[in-house]
Amino acid sequence: MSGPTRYRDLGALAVGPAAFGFTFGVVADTAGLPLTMVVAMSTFVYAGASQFAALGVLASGGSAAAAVATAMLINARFVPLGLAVAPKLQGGRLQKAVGAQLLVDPSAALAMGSSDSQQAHRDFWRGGLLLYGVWVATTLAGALAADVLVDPYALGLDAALPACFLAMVLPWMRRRAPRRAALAGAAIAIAVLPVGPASVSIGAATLGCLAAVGAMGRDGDPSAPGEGP
Amino acid sequence: MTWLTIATLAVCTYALRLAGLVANRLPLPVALRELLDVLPAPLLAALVVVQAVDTPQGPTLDARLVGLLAAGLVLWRGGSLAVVVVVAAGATAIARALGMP
Repeated sequence: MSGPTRYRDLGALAVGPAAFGFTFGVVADTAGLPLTMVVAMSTFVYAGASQFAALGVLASGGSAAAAVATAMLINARFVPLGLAVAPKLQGGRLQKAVGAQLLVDPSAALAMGSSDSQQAHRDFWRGGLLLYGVWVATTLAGALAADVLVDPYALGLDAALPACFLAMVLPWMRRRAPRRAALAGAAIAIAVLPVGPASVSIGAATLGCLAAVGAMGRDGDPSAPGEGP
Repeated sequence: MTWLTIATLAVCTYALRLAGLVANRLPLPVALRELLDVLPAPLLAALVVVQAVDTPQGPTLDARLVGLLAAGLVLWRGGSLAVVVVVAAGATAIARALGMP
């Protein structure tokens, strides 16, 4: 791929994160976060699923420690993603330190998708910067739009968060090992929720990984899917 | 949400990002890599469940489930995330307008 196809691909790649970022802005604002915090989260944390998760744990009455722990468990995938992308990135320490902040699922996928290492390096930076800009801008737009919306509850906006999580978990259901882990995790959460706080039921769901142990290595492609940052 | 929580989230997330980039020469056990690969799946699945039924007063079945069902249908038909979110919120709003909690 080269030329116009490449740019179109980058644009298409940004559509999902744009909708996701806008939703985060709306949901975070609806949850009562001030505008500065909403934008700061997207600028400095810049990891959509974990931003939602931290918000979700806190909204469910969990502690800050539980929110951070849940978010970090979700972001633990950045370690293998970074390991996979590292050989494709050129440049010195400073470039690597800045590039690290641009590491998200779609930018990693771009870098891993090119066999030519110069192309991979270019794609990672172009795509990474575009996705970063789109994410912060759409978050801000969503938070501003949420102020205009009247009654978020009557508008059903509290259903946007579980719907986003559903959209994010579905790509994982295609492969056997993560599918088993996801189903086990959901079952654990359902079992724990009536007797413990939400953050505990989310934390306990990590044990669902054990259900995948027997199914690992049978699916071929080990790269993790990802809709947004 | 406090500024300290946001700062902690940001620093820890950045550390995870940088860790993989600078440690690519270290030999990681295959089992550990596979576990890290799979970890988001059960967490996201649990978040679907919790966010769909949890309230500060405990788990409740309400109009959010209608929205989630509608979202599932849109996703099954290959709809984009924007459509999924609009349909989920719309279906929930309609269910509430019809009297569901």
